[in-house]
Amino acid sequence: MSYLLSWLIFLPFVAALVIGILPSHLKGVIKSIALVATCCQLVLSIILFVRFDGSLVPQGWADAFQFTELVPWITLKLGTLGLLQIDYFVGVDGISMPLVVLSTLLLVIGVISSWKLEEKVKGYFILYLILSGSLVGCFVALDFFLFYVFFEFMLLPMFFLIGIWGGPRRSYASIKFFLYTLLGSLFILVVMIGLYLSVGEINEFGIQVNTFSLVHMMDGNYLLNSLLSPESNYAIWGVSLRSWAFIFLLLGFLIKLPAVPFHTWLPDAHVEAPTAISLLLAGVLLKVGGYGLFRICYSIFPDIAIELAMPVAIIGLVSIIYGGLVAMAQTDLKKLIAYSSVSHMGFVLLGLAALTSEGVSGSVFQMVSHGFISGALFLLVGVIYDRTHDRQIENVSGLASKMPKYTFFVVLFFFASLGLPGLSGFVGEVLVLIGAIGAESTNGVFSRWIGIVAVLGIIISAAYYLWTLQRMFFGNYWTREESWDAKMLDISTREWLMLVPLAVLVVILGVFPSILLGPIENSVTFFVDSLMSQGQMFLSQ
Amino acid sequence: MLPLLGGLVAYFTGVKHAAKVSLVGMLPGAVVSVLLLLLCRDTPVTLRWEWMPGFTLGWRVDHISAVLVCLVYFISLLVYLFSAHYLKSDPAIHRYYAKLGFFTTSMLGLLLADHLLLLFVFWELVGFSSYLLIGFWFADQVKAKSAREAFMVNRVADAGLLIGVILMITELGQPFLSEMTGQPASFIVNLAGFGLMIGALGKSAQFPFFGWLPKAMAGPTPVSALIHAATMVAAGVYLLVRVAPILTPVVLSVIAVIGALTALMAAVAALSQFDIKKVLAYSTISQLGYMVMGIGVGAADSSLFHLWTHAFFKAGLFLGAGAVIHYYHRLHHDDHSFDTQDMRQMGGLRKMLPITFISFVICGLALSGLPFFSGFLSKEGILTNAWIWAAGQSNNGYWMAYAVSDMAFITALITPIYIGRQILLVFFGSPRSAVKKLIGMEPMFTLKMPLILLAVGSVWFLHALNPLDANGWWLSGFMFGEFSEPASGNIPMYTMVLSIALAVAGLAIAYMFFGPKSTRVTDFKNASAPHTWYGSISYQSWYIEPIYDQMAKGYSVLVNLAKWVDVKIIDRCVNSAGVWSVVLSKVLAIIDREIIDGLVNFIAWLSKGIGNMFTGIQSGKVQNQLVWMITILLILILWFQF
Repeated sequence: MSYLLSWLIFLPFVAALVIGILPSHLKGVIKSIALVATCCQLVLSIILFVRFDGSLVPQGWADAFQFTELVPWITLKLGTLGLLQIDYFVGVDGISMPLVVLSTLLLVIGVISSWKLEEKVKGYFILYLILSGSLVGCFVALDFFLFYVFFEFMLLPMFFLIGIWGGPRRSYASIKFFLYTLLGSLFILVVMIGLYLSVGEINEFGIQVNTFSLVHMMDGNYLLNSLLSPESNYAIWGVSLRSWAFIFLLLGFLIKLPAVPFHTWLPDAHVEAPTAISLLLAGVLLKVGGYGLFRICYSIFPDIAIELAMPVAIIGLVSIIYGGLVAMAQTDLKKLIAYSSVSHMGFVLLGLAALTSEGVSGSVFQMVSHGFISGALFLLVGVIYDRTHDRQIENVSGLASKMPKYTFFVVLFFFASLGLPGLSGFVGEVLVLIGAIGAESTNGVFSRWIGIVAVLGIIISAAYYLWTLQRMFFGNYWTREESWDAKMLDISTREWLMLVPLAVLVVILGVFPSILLGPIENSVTFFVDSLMSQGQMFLSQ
Repeated sequence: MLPLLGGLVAYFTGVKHAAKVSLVGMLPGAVVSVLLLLLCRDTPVTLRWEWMPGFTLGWRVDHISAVLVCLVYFISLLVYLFSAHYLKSDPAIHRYYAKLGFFTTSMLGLLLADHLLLLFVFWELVGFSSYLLIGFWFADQVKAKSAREAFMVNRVADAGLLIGVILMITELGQPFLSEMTGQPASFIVNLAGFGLMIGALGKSAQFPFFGWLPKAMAGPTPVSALIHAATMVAAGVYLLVRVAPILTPVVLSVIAVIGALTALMAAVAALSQFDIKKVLAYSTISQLGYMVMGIGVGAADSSLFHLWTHAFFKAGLFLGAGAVIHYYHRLHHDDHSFDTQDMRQMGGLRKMLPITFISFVICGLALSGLPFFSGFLSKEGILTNAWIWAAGQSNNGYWMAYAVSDMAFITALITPIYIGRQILLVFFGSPRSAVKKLIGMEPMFTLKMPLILLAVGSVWFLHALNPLDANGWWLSGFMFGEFSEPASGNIPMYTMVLSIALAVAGLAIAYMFFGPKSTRVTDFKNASAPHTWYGSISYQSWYIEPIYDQMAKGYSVLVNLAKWVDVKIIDRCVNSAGVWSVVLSKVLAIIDREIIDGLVNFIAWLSKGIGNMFTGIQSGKVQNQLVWMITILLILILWFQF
C-alpha cells in the first residue's frame, strides 16, 4: 500500500501550515513554498498517472479502485442504532484519475499566475493551498462523509479568495457563489444521511453497521426495509424515495456543474474572481460537479439514472444551446467565456446521460479538455486585464498586429474551444455527440433527436468566438484609452510559461486522445456496464 | 505532412527565404505522391490504426485519391511558385506559407482519409486554413469579416455533415468510405444522406450556401486559385462521389436539382459583376453546380472528370486574374483609392500582359466548353447524363425532371457569355484607366510557367486523345476500374451539337455586347450597379447576402432574448430568492425580538416586578412580611385544596 493519494491530499495542508508560521513579509518565500508544494503535487499525480493500471478489468466496485487506503476514522457505538462507521477511504479509478492530474496541473499554473500578487500574500496562499488539498481530496474520497467534508471545505477558501482578492462587486459575487453552492450541498447532505441509514451490513455479532462507504453504496448493499433500498415502497407525492434522492443529488451537483437554469452564480463569480481563481473555478471546481454526478448520483442510483435519462439529457442540451446563445450577447470577455463554460459543461451532462461508453468517455474527456481550454482562456483574459484593467470586447480592436504571440494563443484556444479537430475540444464533443445520437439504438434511454439538436452547439460556439476574434483582434489597431497603448506588450515569459504547457496538452490530446482514453477505457466500460445491469436489476425489483 | 513541415520551417526561416523553403518542402511530397500513384496501381493501399478505444481510423490510397492527390500537388506547386512572385513584398510572407502548407496538408489528409470521422477532421481543418488564408490581411476589418462569414456558412453545413457522419457510424455501422454498401431506404438512411449532402453543399458552395465563396475572394488571389477554385471547394464533390453508394434516390434527386439550380443561379450572377475575381467566383460555383448535378444524375465519373479539368482551367483563370491585379497594384501602389480588381478600370491589357492574355483566353475557352479544350470533354459527359437521367425520370412520370437538364443547358449558354464579357472587358478594347508598360511584370519562372502549364492543361490532348469523346478520359478506366461502365454509352450526337452551338452562340453574344467597338465598353468605366429588377438579381446574386444578413440579425435578436431571459428571469429569480430569504429572516428576527425574546423579556420583567415586590417584603416591614406570608400560604392552601 502506498500513501500516494494521502501525500497528494495533505502535502498542501502541510505547506499551508508552514506558510502560516512564516511572517507575512516574506512574500517571496511564501510564493516559493506554494509553488514547490503544488509542483510536488503535480509530480505525484504524474506518478499516479504513469503507475495507474489501465489494463485492470474490474469485476465489481470493490476492486475498481487503485491506490486505495482505508483507515477507520470515526467509530461510534450508537446503542440500538448500531455502529457509526466513518472511514478515511481513498482511491482512484479511471474517472477520477484524470481529474486529479488535471487539478494538480492547473494548481501549479494558478500559482504562477498569482505570482505578481502583492497584497495579503500570506493569507492568499494559505487559502489557496487549503483549496488545493480539498480539491484533490474530493476527487479521491471513497467515503461519502469524507467526500462531503472536502466538498464543503472547498467552499470556504473559495469564498474568501473571491471575496477578498476579487473585483469591485466581489462581495455580491462571493456571497452568491457561497450561498448557491451551499444550498446545493444541503441537498446532498440530506441524501447522504438517507443513504447512511440505508446502506450497511449486519456484522458477525448481529450488530447493524451502517456505513458511508461509497463502494458499498455503489454495490447496492442495502439493509432490509431501509429508506432508499430499491425494494422500499416509501414514496412522497407518489414519487419513490430513490427518485427523490437522485433528484436531490442531481440538483446539488447541477448547481456546481453548473447547468441551466442553475448557472447564474458562475458568470458573476468569474467576473469578480482574480485570474488564478477563475482558472481553478472553471478548470477544476466545475469538474467536481461533474465528478459528483459520475461517482455518486449515477453510480448509486443507476435505476433512476436510466429512468430520468431523458430529462437530464434535455438539461444538458438546453445548457449547450442556451449557454452559447447568452455567451454571444456578452460584452465582457470574461463573461463570454464563463457562459461558454456553461455551454461546454452541457456536453458533459449530455454524454453522461447517454450511458453509452462513447458518451461517458467523451464526457470524462470533455471535463479534462475543458479544464485545460477554459483555464487557458481565463489566463488569456487575465493577460488583457493585467494590461488595461478592462475586459470589454468593444474597447480594443486589431490586437493581432500589436500582439501576435498573444493572438496566436487566443486563436488556438478559441478554436480548441469551438471544437476544431486536432485539438482536444473536438474529441470530447464528438464522442459525446456520438454517444448521444447512438443512445437510442444502444440502450434506448433517450431519442436521438436530442443528440442531433445538440450538434447545433458547434455552430453557436463558432459564432461567438469568431465574432469576438474579429472585433478584438482583427482590423486596425485601436484602444479606447491612449494610456493603454504603452502597456500593450506581447506576452511575457511568465505568461508564456503558463500557456505553453496547456497549448501542448490541448494539441497532444487532440491528436492522440488515446493517451487519456486508453488508461480509462476499462473503468468507463465497467462504469457503463455495471450501471446498465444494476439499473435494470433495481428497476425490475 | 510534408507541406506542413515545409510551411513551418518556412515560418521560422523568416520572411526572406520562406517561399524557397516551402517549395523545397513541397518537392519530396510531390515525388511521394507520384510514387503513391504507382504503388496503388494494382491494389489500394490501406493503413488502419486505433485512434482511441473503439475507433479504428484508416488511411487509404486508391486510384481516385491517388489521382486527386497528384492533382492537388500539381496545382499547389504552381500556386506556391506564383505566390512567391505575387506576395514578394509582403512582410508576412512567412506566415502565408505556413498557412498554405497547413492547407495543403489538410487537403491531402482529406483525400486520403478512409474513415468518415477522419475525413471530417480534415474537412474542418481545410475550412480552418481557408479561414486563416481569407483573413490573411486581417488588419482590414472587411477582410476579417469576410473570413468569419465564410467560415460560419461552412460551419453550418458542417453541422449537417457531422450529423451524417455520426449517423453513419452509430446507426448504419459504415464508417469506412471504401466499404460502403447500399442500404435499403429508410428514414435513418435518408437522414444520414441528407446530412452528408448538406456538408458537401456547404463546402462546394452550392445553394443555399454559395454566398460564402464570393466572400472568400478577400484572400490573396493565389489562395483563391488553389483553395476556392481547384481544390477545397471540390471536396464536397469528392465526398459525394465517395458516399454515393448509400445515397438513396430521393437524396440523389435533391442533389441533382440543387446542382442544376446553383449552376444556373451562379452563372446569372456572374453576368453582371464588376469585380474581376467575383466573376470567377460565381463561375466556380456554377461549375461546381455541374459537378454536383452530375453526381445526382448518376454520372459520378463525369463529375470527377470535370473536377479534374476544372482544376486546371479555373486555377489558370484565377492566376491570370492575379497577374492582372498584381499589375494594377504595382501601377497604382501609391493610390489606395484605386480598386485593382474593378473591371471598370481595366481594358486593353492584351499588349501589356501577353502571356497572361493568351493563357486566360485558353482557359476561358475551356470554361466555355468549346471543342478541343478540356472543359468540353468533361462538361459534355455531365450534360448528356443529365439529359438521359431526365428522360428516364420522365418515363417514370416525373416530367419535371427535364427542368434539371434544361437548366444545365441554359447555363451552358450563359457561361461563354460571362467569360467572354470578362475577356473582352479586361484584355480588349482601349484602356479605361492609364496603363503603361511595366518591366518585369511577367517573370519567367514564377509567373509565366504556372500560367503556361495551366493553359496547356486546359487543352484536350492531355486528357483524351479524341477531342470530341467525353468518355475518352484516359484516367477514367484507371480511377473507376470495372466498377463503372460508361454510364451513357456513346454520347448522343444531338447533345453534343447542341452544346457546341450554345457555346459558340454564347461567345457571339458576348462579342456583340462587349466587342471592342461597342459603346457599352467605352461607357463601362462609369457603369453603376444595375437598376432593373433582373439586373439587380444578378448583381446582388439573388440577394443571398442580404438573406444571410437577415438570418444573422434574427440570430442576434435570439441571442439578446436569451440574455434578457438570463438576466431578467433566471438571475432575477435567484436574486429575489436571496432577497426574500433576507426578508424572511428579517421577519423572523422581528418575531424573535418582539415575541420570543419579548416573552423572555416579559418573564424577566415579571420576575423583576415580583422581585421588587419581594424587595419590598424584605425591606424590613415585618408587618407587611407577615401579611404576605399569610397570603401566600392561603393561596397555596387553596391551590392544593382545589
